[in-house]
Amino acid sequence: MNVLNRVLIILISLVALVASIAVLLVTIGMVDPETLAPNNWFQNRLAEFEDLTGTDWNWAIAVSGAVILVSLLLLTLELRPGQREPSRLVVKQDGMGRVTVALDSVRRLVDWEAQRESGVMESESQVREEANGLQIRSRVSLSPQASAPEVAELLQERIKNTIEHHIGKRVSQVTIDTQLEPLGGRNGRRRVR
Amino acid sequence: MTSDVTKSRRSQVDSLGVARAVRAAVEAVPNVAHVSAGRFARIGTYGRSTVVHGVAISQVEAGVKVDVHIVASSAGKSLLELAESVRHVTRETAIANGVETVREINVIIEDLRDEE
Repeated sequence: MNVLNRVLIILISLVALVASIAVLLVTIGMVDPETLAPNNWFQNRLAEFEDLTGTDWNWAIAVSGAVILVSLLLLTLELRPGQREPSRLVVKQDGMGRVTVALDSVRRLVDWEAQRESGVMESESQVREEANGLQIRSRVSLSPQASAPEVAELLQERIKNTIEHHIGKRVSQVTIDTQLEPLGGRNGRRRVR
Repeated sequence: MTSDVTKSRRSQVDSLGVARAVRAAVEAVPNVAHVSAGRFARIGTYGRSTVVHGVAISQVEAGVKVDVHIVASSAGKSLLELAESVRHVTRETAIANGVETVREINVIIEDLRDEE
């Protein structure tokens, strides 16, 4: 939804909210129309709700209550902080323009590469861009037959080469945390930098 | 005045046409899984009653800027090479469709798809 639509919905919701609160207050007799309304036109509109009885009174209460709830819901939805744009990595910038890659995609690439290494069951990676290059940290779950130091060393090289090839940016650090348990578990972890 | 309006309308129609052509050409590039409208905002070239998602064409000083949002497939060439191919195809297609000067082409790789 674009900004104009969002502003329109916020404005309409605010107007509906204020009007329904005014109608509700006048209908239940808490406030006089003269107190609420800024001019005669509004006073006359609100005065119609002043002396309602029976079914009309019930309808006025129900409808204004429903409009208040819907307006509040719309306002909450429109005013809550939006979803954040994905972090992107600028991998190339020249006279022709920019090439960017979502960091999530780089992270996924790291995971795919890690999982292609024999002995790696699962992996979960993080990628950060620092001044001296990309810093990658991978948690990997190994099969019981795998040698953690060997796999970790191979992974470091493989991940570094792959990412530098794909992204064209220097990878300054690859940290591998290995464990035998599935990645949900935290026991028996070893780290290779 | 009339010619300005006509020119402006023509420019709008051209933008949509160019966006459609660029989208089709980019989707034909090997290792482009598809052109994406973006994960959050709906990126595209908007006309009166239609929109071409994933390719945003805008007028900039003395030319046109094209933003192309793609999802790449993981197999094959590097993402940098892929982006270069997309830029090349975008430029060629835009020019073939009447754009005189392509000032800027931004390629945004939104996601990767495993197609091995």
